[in-house]
Amino acid sequence: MSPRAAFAVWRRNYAVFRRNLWAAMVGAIGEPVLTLLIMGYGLGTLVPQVNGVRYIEYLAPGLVVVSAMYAAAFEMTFGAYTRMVVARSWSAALATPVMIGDLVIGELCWGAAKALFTSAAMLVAMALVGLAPVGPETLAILALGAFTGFIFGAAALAFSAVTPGYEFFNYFFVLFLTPVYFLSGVFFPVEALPGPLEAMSYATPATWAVSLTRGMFGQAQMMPPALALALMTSLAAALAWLAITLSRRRIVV
Amino acid sequence: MSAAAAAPLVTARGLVKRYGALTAVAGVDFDLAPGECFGFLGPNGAGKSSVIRMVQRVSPVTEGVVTVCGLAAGSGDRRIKSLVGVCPQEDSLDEDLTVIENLRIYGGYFGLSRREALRRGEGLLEFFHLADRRGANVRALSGGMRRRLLIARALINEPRLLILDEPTTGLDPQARHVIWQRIRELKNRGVTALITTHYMEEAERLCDRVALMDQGRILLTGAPDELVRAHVPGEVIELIPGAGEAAEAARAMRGWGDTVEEAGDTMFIYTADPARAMERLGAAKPDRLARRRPNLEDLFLRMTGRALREGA
Repeated sequence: MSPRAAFAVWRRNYAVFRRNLWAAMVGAIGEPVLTLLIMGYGLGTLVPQVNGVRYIEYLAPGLVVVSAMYAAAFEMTFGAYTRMVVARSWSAALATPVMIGDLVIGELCWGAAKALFTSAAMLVAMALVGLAPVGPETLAILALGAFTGFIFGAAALAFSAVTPGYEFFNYFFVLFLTPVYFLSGVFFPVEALPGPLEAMSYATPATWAVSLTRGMFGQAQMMPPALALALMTSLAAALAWLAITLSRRRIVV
Repeated sequence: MSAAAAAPLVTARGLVKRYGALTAVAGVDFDLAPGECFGFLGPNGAGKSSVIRMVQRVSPVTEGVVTVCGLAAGSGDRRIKSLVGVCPQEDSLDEDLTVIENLRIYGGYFGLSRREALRRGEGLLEFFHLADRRGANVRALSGGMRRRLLIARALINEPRLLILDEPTTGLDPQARHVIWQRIRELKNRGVTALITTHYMEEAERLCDRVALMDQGRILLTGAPDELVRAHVPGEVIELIPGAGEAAEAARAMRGWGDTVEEAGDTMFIYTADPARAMERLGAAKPDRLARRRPNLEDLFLRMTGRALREGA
């Protein structure tokens, strides 16, 4: 692994991103902000308080996490797959001293950067209406957003490396990401779920990140922070390895 | 010549590439001397690109040995890739970036600083007559310009070895001539190049030596004109008989001592005595007939018994 080569890959994606900044901004925060406002104020009238906070406040931390998750997942499916198979950006880079491991790590860091960008935009929007903390916690929340992006980006890239075409991303989004979205304790406490579903919830990485982020927002966490962090770190390493291995199998022939 | 200059830049011994059950390269050997322009010539599917991909270290070697600048494949891969510049067969320019950004970002892959990549990039755009397109989006370039930019990009690392995989395939004659001229200029500056092509004319114009490839093997290696002289002496009479004329021409040439080949609708008569052959054809001469000196294409036809123009 060469950090410099991985950074060069990252920088390529950043150069393209910078050209389309405003489109990226709308894409990044449009839906989560709408979700926050509509669910928060709409559903909030029916659900006055959860765990001692207003419903809209309860929603805020989880929405930061899942928007980071989706930002990275989109980037590492449609974006990375296009670069890998359609636009030949990968084959261009691999003809240089960039090796497949550098390439995948650079891409995953780019997915994390997109997640960071989305988290930051969300936090600004929330802070403006007093829903997000402003202080040292902000940096921790951003770091968690990026970390969440790295994990889901790695899962997404591993899937991209084996998918035959764009249509197959439905499997990833509908069968994997959507259940994670609803099970991760963003919208309601996971204890409300029936036993098996609650167990599944604790097994999803988004729940770990949501729990940690709730702590940063000053809310009750669903699990010990050290455990959540340890789980996230192990999964990140395993998925990055998987993404590299599957990408190598597809590309280096 | 010093000992260092005599050492080959690329050495391949018993190189084999298999994709599952398919053998794309069935054991090739060659050496490439510094400053040399070496061409792999053959139809689609001959294994040219597979050889090149093993040399540039993006494709694992199934069997055999390949070294570049004395570095062995494997642990030397990253270093080898830093010394090689590749113009790929399939256009991999970045359509999301401008012309100069393509060079800058690509330079970054070689660890060049932004400033150095831009400095070299400007020079390369000048050399390839693209300076006025500096800020254009790649999508706005013509096919010929894109190919020039692709070659320019391959030179950003000032490579010891330049690989051009079918550098003019799909281009119109004018664009092709511009690229040939630029490649010759690079040659004059001492660039070592490995070229694949299925155009005989391209190989004859650019290459000091060629390797004729077919079905994963090298059939012959040598200087184009020497190969042709050694294997296809004399002249070629090429005729395209009309309906009914083919049988007549074939009859006329029956029992002719020299070789007669038929490829598609064209008959090739290889002879040291063209005047006598013409005489023998007599009334069987079709309107479409040409006498010419043999070229690499004839050599290829003689070696494989099939015309290159028909594809694999």
